[in-house]
Amino acid sequence: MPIDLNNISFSYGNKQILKDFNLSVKRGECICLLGVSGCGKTTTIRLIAGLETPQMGTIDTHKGKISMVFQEDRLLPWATALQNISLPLTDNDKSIAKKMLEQVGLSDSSDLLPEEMSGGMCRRVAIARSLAFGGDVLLLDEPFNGIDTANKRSLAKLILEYFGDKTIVLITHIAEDAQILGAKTIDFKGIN
Amino acid sequence: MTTSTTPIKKFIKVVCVLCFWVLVWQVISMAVGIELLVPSPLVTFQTWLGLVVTEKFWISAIYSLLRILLGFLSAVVLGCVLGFATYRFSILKTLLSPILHIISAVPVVSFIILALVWIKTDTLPIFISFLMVLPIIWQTVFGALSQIDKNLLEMAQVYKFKKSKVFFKIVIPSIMPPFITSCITGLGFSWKSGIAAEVICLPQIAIGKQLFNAKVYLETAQVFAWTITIIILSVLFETVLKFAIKKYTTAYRKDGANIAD
Repeated sequence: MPIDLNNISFSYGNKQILKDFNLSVKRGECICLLGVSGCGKTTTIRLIAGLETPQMGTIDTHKGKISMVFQEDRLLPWATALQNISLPLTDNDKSIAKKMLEQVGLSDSSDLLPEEMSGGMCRRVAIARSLAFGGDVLLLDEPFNGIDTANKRSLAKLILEYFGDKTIVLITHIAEDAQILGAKTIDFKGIN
Repeated sequence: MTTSTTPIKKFIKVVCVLCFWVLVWQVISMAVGIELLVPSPLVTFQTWLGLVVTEKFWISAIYSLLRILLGFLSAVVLGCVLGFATYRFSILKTLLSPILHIISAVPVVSFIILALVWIKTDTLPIFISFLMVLPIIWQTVFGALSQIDKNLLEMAQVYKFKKSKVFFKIVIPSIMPPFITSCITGLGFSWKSGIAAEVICLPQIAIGKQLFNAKVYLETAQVFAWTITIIILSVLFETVLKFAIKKYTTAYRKDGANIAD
């Protein structure tokens, strides 16, 4: 599903984040907005996800189903790894969640709560949840935070396995993350 | 090994603490030397045993218990409703917050004396228990709802959770810990205020009335015995509540992903 952002302007109070910003991502394309912290990358991805409304301009995601890996893990602290992955699934299909957990290398940790897992493990659960949810568009906000290079590569392979033919928008400040996903890099500077 | 000895250690600790305070009581009683002022633990225990075998004891205890429980449960239900309603509709919060402040600030005795004019003596302790617990639950639910992690709600929005799923998977588990604490605190308050109301309004059958009569007839040992009964009942109910909550939360965690899908 393509994504089109046309002449977007957005500000938090008096602080202008985006001005007349345009972005077009084709179906099956994987792009990376690469930029320093605070330049408006997260705002852009939040606008695409529908978590923010632009003050000006239009966003068209063509009614595609959007899945997202947030900058923070955003796991339910009272739910186990398996429960966290199966939560977004409408039919609560545990087999999909179990398979996903296995694919991110956490099949032995299904009954662990987020507080019982390391930062890297929680990150993998968050990625597994987004992949289990599926959809037409995958938004990745610094998805590989706290993950070592070897695991990054296997996770990137998994992401491409599920979303390779769909639309992926990655935002990061680490160029290597874009490379391992094979993303087309756009140097993002916001309004600065 | 550790897990099996911990409850025993805990029990021994409780018994030791209890023995210490009974000893302090005994020393004070001996120092005063007048049973009418400070009866000894033994005399109080004998008086209590004498009360326990009477029909009057059980009927009074059951009536007081039912009144307090009714007041407590009504406050929990209405406190939750008001907590959710005032969180959802800010106009309601503005409108009702003076009531909340009045209930919290006015001494319980003022309410009891005022309510005596309007409410029958049998139902007054229910109303007073209700009134004392209501602001605790209400404020807790409102505060807990205001502090729900917005990140989780956004996650639910992106993943298109149904409203029922948001409620059962995010809202309820988020507010549960403070709600449980407020229920336990509220239960203690309902006992204190309910019995105080009984002592002042003197319903036909009540622990409060027995306490009042014992005081009037200078039966200090009976006053102590009835007070111990109140403590036992209060602790018993707190334990039952804690046990029920523990059961519920364990079941919730175990079946967490299956509830309300």
